[in-house]
Amino acid sequence: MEKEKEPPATEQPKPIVEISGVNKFYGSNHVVKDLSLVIYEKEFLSILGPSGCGKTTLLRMIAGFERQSTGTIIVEGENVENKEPFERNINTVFQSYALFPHMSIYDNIAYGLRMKKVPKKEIKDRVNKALVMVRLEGFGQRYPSQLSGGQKQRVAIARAIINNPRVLLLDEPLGALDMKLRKQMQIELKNLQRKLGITFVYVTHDQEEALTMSDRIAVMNVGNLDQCGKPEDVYDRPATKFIADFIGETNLFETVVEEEKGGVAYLYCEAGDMMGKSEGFDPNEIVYVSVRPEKTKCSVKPVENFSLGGIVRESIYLGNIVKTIINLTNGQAIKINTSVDQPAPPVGSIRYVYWDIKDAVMIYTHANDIINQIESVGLNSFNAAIPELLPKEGENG
Amino acid sequence: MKNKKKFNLETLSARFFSAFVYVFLYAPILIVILFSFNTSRRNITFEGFTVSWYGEMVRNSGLLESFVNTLVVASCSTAIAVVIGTLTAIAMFRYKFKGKGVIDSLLYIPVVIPEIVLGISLLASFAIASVPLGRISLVIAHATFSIPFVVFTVRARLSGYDRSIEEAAMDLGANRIQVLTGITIPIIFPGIVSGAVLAFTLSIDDFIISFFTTGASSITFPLKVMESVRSGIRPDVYALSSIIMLATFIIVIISQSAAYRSKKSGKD
Repeated sequence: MEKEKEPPATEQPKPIVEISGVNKFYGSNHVVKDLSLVIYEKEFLSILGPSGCGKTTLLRMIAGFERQSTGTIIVEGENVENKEPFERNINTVFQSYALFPHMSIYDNIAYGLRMKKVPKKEIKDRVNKALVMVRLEGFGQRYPSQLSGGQKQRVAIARAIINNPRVLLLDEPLGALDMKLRKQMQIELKNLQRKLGITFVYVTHDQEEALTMSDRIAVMNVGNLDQCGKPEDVYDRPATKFIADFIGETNLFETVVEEEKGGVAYLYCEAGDMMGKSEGFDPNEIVYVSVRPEKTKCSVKPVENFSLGGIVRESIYLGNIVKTIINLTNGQAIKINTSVDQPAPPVGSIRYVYWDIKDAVMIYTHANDIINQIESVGLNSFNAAIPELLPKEGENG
Repeated sequence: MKNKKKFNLETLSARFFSAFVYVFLYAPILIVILFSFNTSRRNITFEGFTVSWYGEMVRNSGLLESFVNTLVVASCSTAIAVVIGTLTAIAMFRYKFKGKGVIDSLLYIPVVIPEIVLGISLLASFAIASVPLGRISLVIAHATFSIPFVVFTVRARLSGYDRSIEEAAMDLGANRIQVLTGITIPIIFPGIVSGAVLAFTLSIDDFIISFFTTGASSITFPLKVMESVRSGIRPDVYALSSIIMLATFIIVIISQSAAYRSKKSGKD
């Protein structure tokens, strides 16, 4: 169809939305905390987080429905602080679809163009094209109450993209659909984004959805942006304990560094000893270790430097994999996924958990940073008052 | 056998009961229509059939004038009540503000307060504000007691309203006025209409408050009827009443069938 194909984009991606130092308070409630994020042209960015993490608030600030308490939001190089939603070249797909119940599907989709005073003939062409794009030809004269959830969703998308926005914001658009339709719409949305070449900012609490569709994922937790990166970065190298736990399944250990030697960190936790990657930790530093179930292994005899023994509690057949659950001595349940052709350890037997060092993700707790900071402040004045709470050497300083 | 007998008795009593209800409701109305065709000036016995009272009614300028006056007052007060009531309902639905709860409860007072008290207090207010009693004072008085009814019906309609619909319109480039006129008002329109019908009806048949708040220059139809009762009701009042009833009947049928049709189309 296309006579000329554009050369593949090799140049640096251009920022389209720049959020810097944004805070949002509702009364004394700090909903978004000093958040900075750059969204690039033509990318599919997911904002992922549990409900109440501030992701929808962030989206509503980009759209202009909420105003940030402090900080700036720049869209296409322009500060949008004093711009109303109808003055921004951004469109939104709402979770509740928010179709106009008193208008036909055709009028719903045409609404944005009518507001922009586009000539009637052009509106007709573009609406019909949009209806074809979302596979709703012939539905123009129906009313929203006559459509199913998936169809309403498509109308909401058509209504937004017909205005050729530079950025499309989607607020959990598939939340109300059933599982099968969801999967189908995920693929459709991704294809649509590629075809249109516009930036999608997609808010979701479903980590699987985010991993499937996104070019990048921004993970939010209690108002903070914890990490922003490619799906594989977020999955394989989670920056915080929260992300390791939230995205996919994992086995998480709170450990203390014993020593580092030859690129290996020797660690111990309540349940026993283990090894991890050396990343320049201090001895006695608290570090979280996250190992994915598919990377976790178990053996009959203890592997060198590992002493995580436990009893096999369950072995669950899941069709493509077998999930083995091992209870460690401290009660922690370790999940191990193995392929079905490997023999599963019998329930009730004793197994030792281990992994390859490269598969262990080391997560800083910053507990040591905080301790160092407290020490650097100098607590001389407190020493006299509460000497028993402080280390001995503090008495001199 | 026994079963069937019981069933017959049940249906019979049900039929009798519903017939009784309808007779009770409509017999007085039918009597008014009947007596509007009575040749006798007195309304106790039916002497013969005539349509002359309808001609008399048209010639009776006082009667017609009072009726026109009623319609004018009802239209004006309804218009005022609809505008103020709708905007109040939208504001109370959309915004949180100090004293919202107080305003909310105060709205019920004109509804539950005895009309006679409202009439006297309005009369006193007009006297203090030195508003001359006449059409204007009447319109203000009627709008006052109509506003809560409009607020209630519009608010009932708004209760299931998803505010993201308005946000979606704004997102698509509509400014606040366009959102109000193109989205909010059309969606709550059925509520506005039923509020308006209620306000209009209340205004048309209000007697007590009108009695206190109008002057000699603007007598409404209920006042006129009341006045003529003292000297015995003339059949031309019956004639006008019959015509009003016919008009009401037609309006009810039209609105009911429209409501039925919209309900049916919404269900498909």
